[in-house]
Amino acid sequence: MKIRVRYFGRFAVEIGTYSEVLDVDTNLKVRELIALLKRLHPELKNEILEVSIDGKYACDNMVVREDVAVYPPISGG
Amino acid sequence: MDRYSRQRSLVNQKKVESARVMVVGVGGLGSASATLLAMAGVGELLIVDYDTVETSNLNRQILYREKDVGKMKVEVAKKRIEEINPHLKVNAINKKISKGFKIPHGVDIVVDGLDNFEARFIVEKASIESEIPYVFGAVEGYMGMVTFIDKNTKRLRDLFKNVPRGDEQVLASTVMLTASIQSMEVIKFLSERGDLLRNRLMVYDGLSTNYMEVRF
Repeated sequence: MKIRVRYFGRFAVEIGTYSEVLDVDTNLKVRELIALLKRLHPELKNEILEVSIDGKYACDNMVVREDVAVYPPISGG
Repeated sequence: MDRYSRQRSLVNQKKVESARVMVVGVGGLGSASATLLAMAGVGELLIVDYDTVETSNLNRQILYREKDVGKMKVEVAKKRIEEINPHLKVNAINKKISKGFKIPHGVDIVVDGLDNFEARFIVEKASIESEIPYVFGAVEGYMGMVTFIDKNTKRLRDLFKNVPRGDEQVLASTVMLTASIQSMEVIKFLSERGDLLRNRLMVYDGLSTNYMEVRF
């Protein structure tokens, strides 16, 4: 299954792209996607990745779908 | 034509002018939110901070000038806000957010101007206990986030798996954009208009010019 992953904030800066298309297994879980992204982009190894799928917050055990966004928790004011 | 004649059809001006709004933290986000809410004519602003103005604040904290370096933020902010709109009351509270923090009686809504989650959790808890909404905002680099939290919505703990301290780099443009959305939520809430960011996290990334909404 092809998915489009959009990267927000410092993640996009760290890996050098705002989005990419990946070919992944159907029924891939969010936690597995996070592990995959960290393997593909070692810059994210120590980051906490928040994920949304089809515009909804995605828990670790949710199944990945086509529209994925990955963003960091941020705290500045 | 009076001071609010160009916004009267957009807001419930009477409610805005009788509102008490608390801005916790008057750094980047808080300075901008306080400015915008003062311009809109909020009746009373309670501003909370314990810090002094530093030179490194001046790239993004709109209420301060070079001559203010070393002065208490709440004192300078009060003076500037009163210059912007002399018709509102500004209550400057020189205090660090710590456990046991309570929202004063009569506050209608709380606006987040904080820079760390430890303080945010305290303010969120106090707001929920007092049944007062809390407008979360955070910034980093070119990126900003906003959501509207009340007793019926998800909480900060539901929105983030973990909340480490992030990068301290931030632009005034990011701060202004984020605080504009926060203050718009306040105006909408007070005016009982529009669709608030309840159970929705607005995320904006200025570098890619991408906006998204994360629903919870």
